[in-house]
Amino acid sequence: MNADPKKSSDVTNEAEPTAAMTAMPVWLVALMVTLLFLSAWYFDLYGGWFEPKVFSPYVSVADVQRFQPKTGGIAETVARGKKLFSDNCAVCHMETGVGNPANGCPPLVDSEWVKSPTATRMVMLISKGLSGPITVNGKVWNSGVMLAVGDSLPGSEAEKAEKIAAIATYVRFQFGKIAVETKPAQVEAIRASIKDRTANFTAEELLKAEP
Amino acid sequence: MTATSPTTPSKIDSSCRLPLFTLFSGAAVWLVLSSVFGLAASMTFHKPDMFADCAMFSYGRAYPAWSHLLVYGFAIPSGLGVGLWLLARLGRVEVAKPLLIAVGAKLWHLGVMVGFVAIVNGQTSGYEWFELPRYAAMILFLSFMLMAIWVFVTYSRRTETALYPSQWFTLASLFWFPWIFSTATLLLQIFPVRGVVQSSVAWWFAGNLLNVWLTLSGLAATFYLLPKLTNRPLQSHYLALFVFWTVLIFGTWTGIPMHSPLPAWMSTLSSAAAVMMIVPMLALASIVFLTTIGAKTACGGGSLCFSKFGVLSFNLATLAAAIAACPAVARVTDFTWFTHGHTTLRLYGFFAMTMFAAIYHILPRVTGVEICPRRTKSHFWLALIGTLLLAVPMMIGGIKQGLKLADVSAPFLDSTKATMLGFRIGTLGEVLIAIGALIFLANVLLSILSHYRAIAKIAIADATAIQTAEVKL
Repeated sequence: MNADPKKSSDVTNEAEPTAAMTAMPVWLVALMVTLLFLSAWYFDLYGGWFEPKVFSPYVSVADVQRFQPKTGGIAETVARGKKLFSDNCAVCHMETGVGNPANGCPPLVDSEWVKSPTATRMVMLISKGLSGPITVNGKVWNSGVMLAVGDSLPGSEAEKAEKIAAIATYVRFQFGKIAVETKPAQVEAIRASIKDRTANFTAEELLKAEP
Repeated sequence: MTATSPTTPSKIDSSCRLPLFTLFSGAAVWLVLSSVFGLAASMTFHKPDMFADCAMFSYGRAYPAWSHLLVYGFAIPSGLGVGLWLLARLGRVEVAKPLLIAVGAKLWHLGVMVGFVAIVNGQTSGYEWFELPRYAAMILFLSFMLMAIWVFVTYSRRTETALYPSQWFTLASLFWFPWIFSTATLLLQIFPVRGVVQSSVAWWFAGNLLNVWLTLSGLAATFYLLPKLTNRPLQSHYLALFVFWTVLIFGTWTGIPMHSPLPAWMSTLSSAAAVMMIVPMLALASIVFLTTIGAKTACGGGSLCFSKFGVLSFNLATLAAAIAACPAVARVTDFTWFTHGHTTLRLYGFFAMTMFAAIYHILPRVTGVEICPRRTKSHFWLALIGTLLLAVPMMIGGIKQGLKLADVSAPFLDSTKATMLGFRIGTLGEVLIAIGALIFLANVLLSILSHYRAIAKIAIADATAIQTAEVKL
């Protein structure tokens, strides 16, 4: 390297560059406008119009709502019934509905009592309890007594009916694979017909009410 | 410095000397250190327990150290230095307060070092491209302001009032960085926003840093060097203006990946903006084509070669980013090594190459000493091959990885294995880039050193002459 400061031919040419004032090509502007139009179209299709609730891959509020679980239908009743079942029934019948043979509690899973055509038998049974022998899935259960859980639920008669309806819906849905909602009005009618009874039902009485 | 006594290019170059020496030498040192950490991070893929007993080089620290040193250590100081020289030369004005700018540059390098030490000690902020902790970010912000104010004052004292495109780009970069950096520091580090908003701020910052700031600063140099080195006028003023506004308008929206966990409008706008970046890309390509077509200048591994490869890489990286923003492609490439591939191409291929071009053009003028063309040429080929070996296999590996990830029947490990060939070639690229960075460091330091040696020689000669004169008397 040369120690003396020296200028090469490149360094000596120190004129600064200039910019030509040639006109702008039109095709670039046309391309930009076209791309802007396509971008706006794309945003309209996928952007969800600044809606904070819409995340990719959904494209609009309507699209998001289409994938939400329906409210007010059987799902909601099942969810409420599940909670009530845990609080009032699961202590004997277990959360999974398999029953507890040691305490004489029969299973609910696939039980013919759960899968009855209407929920009449079940509503009567929940309301007033059961004593005496009962055959479930071919096995005779005779050692336990079910208390009048339905009657002892807190709240007014209408609230009791609503809660029993939810429990019955859940039990039939979960353990009997029957997706039919038991309506509170239906429960109220059944309970009105048995309101003066104080003793537990027996299995024969229930079969007589709903064969 | 007044308008009545017009200054000469060599006077302007002398006034730049102190700040440029500080900015460029620091940038070169950080670039070497960054490539060492990049190499360490890359080695982890071949032998995961290689640095098992050395926390500093473990992947979680080496990768952030690499990106921190590359962007804050190398890219910003070199971009700022080149911008300062451009504003002084094009405005035909000597630098205002070179000493204060040099102090700001020292402070900046101190901030980079503080951030680097914190990162290798495990104090990363965890945001990609914004890895430094709060205290380091504050030092960087203050030192940038200190430098930017005097760079701006230099510009405002210009004696040549007609503006050249490079000046717009440099000025915009002076304002853009404080805006995005202070926003990121405030919203991520000082008053952190909550939840996923953090990642949207971090992505916005990274997009603006990589797609706007680097573009502004790099194109300022490109638009100066190409016409200057080919000795032809820039074609044209209006196209450059078009590039300027489209980069600012569309670039600032980029950065948010298609499948980010954010409301759909954010990623949709961001990917539309990435596609819109094709417009400035094509405008830049036409500028370069129209300016250099038919020019008889041989590039010979010097500044012109670096600058041309920079433009090519910018176009390839922008095109890759635009393609990856299309929904069908993003489904495969999002969150794979593909993104890293085209970002690397932008950083090493476009920005670093353009800065090498500018620094190899500026340093001989500032020092008065030529840089050995053979060392420049070997740096060019190492950097070019290294960048291509790093970026291209990474992009291909990313696509293979994305296809395996999308295939439900393929086990997860297959998606990682699919990138292995990319890593093997990529590590080779990192080695070449590191050797190139060492040559760059040698070029910069030897150039500065020879300047002072020359000055010392003149001083000794003067002293001897005076002595001889006294003896004669």
